[in-house]
Amino acid sequence: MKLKLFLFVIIAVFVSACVKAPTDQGDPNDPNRKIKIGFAMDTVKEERWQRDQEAFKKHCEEMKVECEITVADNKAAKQANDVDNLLTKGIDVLVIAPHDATQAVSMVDKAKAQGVPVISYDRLINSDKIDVYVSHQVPVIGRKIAEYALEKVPEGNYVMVYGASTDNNAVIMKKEQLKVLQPAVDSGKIKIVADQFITDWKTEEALNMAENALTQNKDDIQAFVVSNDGMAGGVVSALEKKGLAGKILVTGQDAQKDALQRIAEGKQTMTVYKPIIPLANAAVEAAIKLAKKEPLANAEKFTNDAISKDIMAILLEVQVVDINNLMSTVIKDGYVSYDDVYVNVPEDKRPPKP
Amino acid sequence: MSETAAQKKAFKIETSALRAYTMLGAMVLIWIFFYLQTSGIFLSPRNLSNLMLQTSVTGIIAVGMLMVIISGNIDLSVGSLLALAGGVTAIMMTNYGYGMLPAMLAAVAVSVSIGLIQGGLTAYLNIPAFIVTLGGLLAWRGAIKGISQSETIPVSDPVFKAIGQQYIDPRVGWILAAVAIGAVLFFAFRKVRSEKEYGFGEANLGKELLKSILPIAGIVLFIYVMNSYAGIPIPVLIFLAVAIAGVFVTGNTTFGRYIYAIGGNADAARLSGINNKAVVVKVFAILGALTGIAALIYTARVGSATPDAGTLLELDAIAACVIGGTSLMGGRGTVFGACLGALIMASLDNGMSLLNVRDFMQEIVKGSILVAAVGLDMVGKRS
Amino acid sequence: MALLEMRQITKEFPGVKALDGVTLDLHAGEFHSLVGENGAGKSTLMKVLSGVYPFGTYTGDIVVEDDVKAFQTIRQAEEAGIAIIFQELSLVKELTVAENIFLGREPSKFGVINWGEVYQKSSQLLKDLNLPLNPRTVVGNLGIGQQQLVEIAKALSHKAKILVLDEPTAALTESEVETLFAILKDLKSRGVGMIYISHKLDEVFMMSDRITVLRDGQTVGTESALALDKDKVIALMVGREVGDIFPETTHDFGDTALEVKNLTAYDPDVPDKKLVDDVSFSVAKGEVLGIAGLMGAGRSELLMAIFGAWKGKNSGDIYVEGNKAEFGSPSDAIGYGIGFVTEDRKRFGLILEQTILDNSTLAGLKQISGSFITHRSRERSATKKVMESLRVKANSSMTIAGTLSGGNQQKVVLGKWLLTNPKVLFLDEPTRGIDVGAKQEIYAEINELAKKGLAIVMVSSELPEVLGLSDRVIVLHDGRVTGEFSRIEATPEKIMMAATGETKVVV
Repeated sequence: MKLKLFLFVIIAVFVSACVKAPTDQGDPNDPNRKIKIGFAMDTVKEERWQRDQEAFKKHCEEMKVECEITVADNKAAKQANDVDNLLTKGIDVLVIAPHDATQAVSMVDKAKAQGVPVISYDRLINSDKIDVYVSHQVPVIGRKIAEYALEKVPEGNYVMVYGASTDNNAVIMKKEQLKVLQPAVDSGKIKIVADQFITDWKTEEALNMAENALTQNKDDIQAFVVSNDGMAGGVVSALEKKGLAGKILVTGQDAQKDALQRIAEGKQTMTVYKPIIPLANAAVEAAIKLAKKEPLANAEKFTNDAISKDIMAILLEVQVVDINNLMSTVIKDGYVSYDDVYVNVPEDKRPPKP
Repeated sequence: MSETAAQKKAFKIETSALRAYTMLGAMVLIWIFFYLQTSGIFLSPRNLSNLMLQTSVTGIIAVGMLMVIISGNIDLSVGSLLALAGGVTAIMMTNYGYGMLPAMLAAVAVSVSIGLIQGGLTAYLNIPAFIVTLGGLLAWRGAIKGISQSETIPVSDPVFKAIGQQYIDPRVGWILAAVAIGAVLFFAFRKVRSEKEYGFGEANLGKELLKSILPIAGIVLFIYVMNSYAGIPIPVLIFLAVAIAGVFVTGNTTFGRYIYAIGGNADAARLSGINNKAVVVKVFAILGALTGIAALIYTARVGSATPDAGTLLELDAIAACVIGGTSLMGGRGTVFGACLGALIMASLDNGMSLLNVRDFMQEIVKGSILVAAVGLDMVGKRS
Repeated sequence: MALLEMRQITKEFPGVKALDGVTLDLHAGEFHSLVGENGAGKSTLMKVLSGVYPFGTYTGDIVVEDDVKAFQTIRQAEEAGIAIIFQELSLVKELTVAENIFLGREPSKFGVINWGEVYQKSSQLLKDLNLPLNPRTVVGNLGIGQQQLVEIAKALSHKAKILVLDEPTAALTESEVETLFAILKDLKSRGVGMIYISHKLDEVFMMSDRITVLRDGQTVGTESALALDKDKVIALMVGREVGDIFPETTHDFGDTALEVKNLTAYDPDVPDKKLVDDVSFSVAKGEVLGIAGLMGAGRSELLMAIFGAWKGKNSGDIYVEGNKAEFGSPSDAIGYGIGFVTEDRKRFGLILEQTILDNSTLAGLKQISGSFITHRSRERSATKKVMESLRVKANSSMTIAGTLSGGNQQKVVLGKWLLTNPKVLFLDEPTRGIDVGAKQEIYAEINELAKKGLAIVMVSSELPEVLGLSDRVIVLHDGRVTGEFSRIEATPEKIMMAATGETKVVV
């Protein structure tokens, strides 16, 4: 019994030593106190979200404000706890990248009830109470992907690979993509032969779906309109196995490193580059303004079906990246290095190194 | 008294055999349904090839999971372990420039070590396997997120990718078929010979040969179908090898018998001189090794290692075992059943994907089938 | 007026008639014993009576005080005043005596239990019944005998008029049996009618007013106890005259097969408590050594510790055929030629859901089959031989062990150990809960094995068995040897004296 207690104490001490003690809250009425921003992230599993995290932290340091970041591991319940904890720690502004657009509504309500302004980051929360929505022009992303595909492949069989049906962005993208493609579908120029939401945006499920779609249509497919790069990776694997990689259009989104490599090799056709640093910066700056109760000059009105009222939004530009503009976009921005992108391309086939 | 016992016994055998055939029957029905609904595409050689491919990762893990479950334990960590092992390979090859072989060996070594650790904690410290591997589920997922810095790590080595994406030459396929048929016949002869030697009834060669017809036909049909498309996919070949080894280990070795004995009655097994603890550790190590192999296939197939690879895979593997008639209480289950379970799950995924069934509906159907399969078992036992 | 009448009860299971027109009646204040071999239908009859098999699944009438009853549930039978105490106790070990007595019927208001009433009523009940129990004791801390008393209290708290006791003394010590019988006599004087199922004919004759014998689902006869004697009852049970069930044999001893010196084993949960205290003994080839003692005297613990299967601390020296041996685990012991037919075959002996074959070859698998790959035909032939020599009644070696009768299950466990080719065989309660016929066969087999030169160490709670089979008897009390007797010296009285620790007799 004593031994057990002893072991327990040792473990408890060890664990608490590993976990950094929380910093003091400070007096909220102290005028010299630093502004404290809470950022409740959903995930940092994908590389892009790590970039968000890094950029956000860095800009907070630059702007001399404190920030506290939590990650919910793709779980709505954990995110709700995270938000509770952040509010307990006395943050001035809450930034949420929601796991679930609807479940996050109650988190917004809770923060607002405590007088903490809320920013919906990248993904929209279905609440009219949010102070501002900072994102890329998601509808534009969907539209740009579809327009790109339609331009390159004006006629033929299309397969639509959507993201997780629980993710608002996936739903918006689907809507916008179909808006662009519908006239061509109606005129019979293109035919959507398969379409599917992929649970949790999983690579392997996208791979299986692509395999099955190819089987179903006896390889007679001209375009895979894929909603992100992770899933595009799965689709390209399916195509590679059939020796079709590079022969069929594959879209993507996020400009992940592996996707950029595939574009350099010609296996994936395009991706959408959403410069993360400006996004994070815009969010931090908006947060500071909200904390100081200053107006947001750069925000505009934004309408979405999921929300009854118009809300304010800051929407940033996005950029299409394909084999032709790799050098002038992501590499030039320092987003990825030349060597990383062209690692699988023989030296003689690479464009000159800048 | 003995009459009552005999009556009961005859009844029991009957229902358990019935149960194995029920699942096979259910699968045939599912296949026929999809065949009709997809205007034949479901049973085309090409789709069957895909279907087997889509079964292989879950199937390989299900074989190991089966042994763990029979021994009366459970392993919830295989999905995370798969991500970790796949990540180790990809990182070694892509980030550190190791060759394919050391990278693969490292992945399997990591998985086996983790299996040994988890088995050791379960057997020697008496921590329930559920808890040990629930810890593993969290810890190994954390580990891969840490060492990959949560990035997707692409693998470009074409030889490595071949493990997941290539097919073996049809001619080699036929050679393998010949070897397999030879083995079936060899075992038939051997059985007849040993029955003669130990004096059981008439040594009936004709009957044994007759019994061999079904497996031989199966082998020929399988190779024919696979070759009509592109040959046996390499992952499927590995899966079959694992399944055959699994059938052999569980059915024809002392080790296999000990697994069933421990799951059936741990005290009786211990008092019969079985080293329960060592057997449990070995079972976990085997599942670790198979998870490592599955991780290589998974990574090769997808072409990259992602930190969220294999989420919920443990539940798929457990579901496959259960659909195949494995008792979660331990002591009961077959490799054949587990593989059948994996194939049924993959058939549902594949067929519904061909039919473009919406994702929510797919989940509902899979969940219902799982419960229905076990429900059928229970009803069958009671009646 | 009869308290209870069961008329022409017939109950069929798929393909077999378990009860065939059984008739039984019971008067108030009567002690009526129901005897028969295992499988004769005693338990089935009682399950019909108690509503376990609901009305409609059997034919015939159950009449309680001239009222024909149709019980759909156990609850309804209880309400009619019928209470059954089954062989396996159905108490919740974590709860107190009072909680168990009122389990499912707690006096409560709006779902809130009135604990005061629970304890007050139970202590009143225990006092009424003269049961020496504290209602606040946790049942798991009581001995088996006391738990039995709790069961009885629980049954009588339902105001039972008919009490059925199924093998209540199987696990009790002599003194506990005496307490139980005193209480039963008291109940009898209060007009409770009792149906008593037991294999122990001494007890049956000591208590019964009438005795009913069942055989193969039929009533063979109901007679006044005064009109019967043991031999007649046994004859009725087995349908044939039985001679002395212990065949008279003399054994020729050889060299010492196993010697144990200063063996001490500690309780795994209470590390200071000695369950076996400095025990030394030896057994020769061809000798049957009986180990007697009361429950909890450390007999099974002694065998477990020798066999390397004891989970707590233990010390002592073991010599096999004169050579010092170390048993770190059962597999070491098996390697030295020790076999151990454990007690409680369902818990320690068999894997009930597996076949006879799988069970039979488990302990000797590597010897029979080879160390890695199993050899089915060899296993089948070995199993077949041992099944034949032990006369296991089953369709084939592929019969599931759990479906066998107790006697046949016990034979399978014995067979499992014979297949390890042991030199020394431990038998722990080898005939508990099996019928007379099977017992006789096992006794004959034990003698046969001794004749072949096996050294046999047998633990048994049944004195006749110990006296009838053993060449020598050692008696344990509180973990220590308190007596040792040769076949000629051993008498029930001497053994009981030593077992209760009254006096230390070493001859």
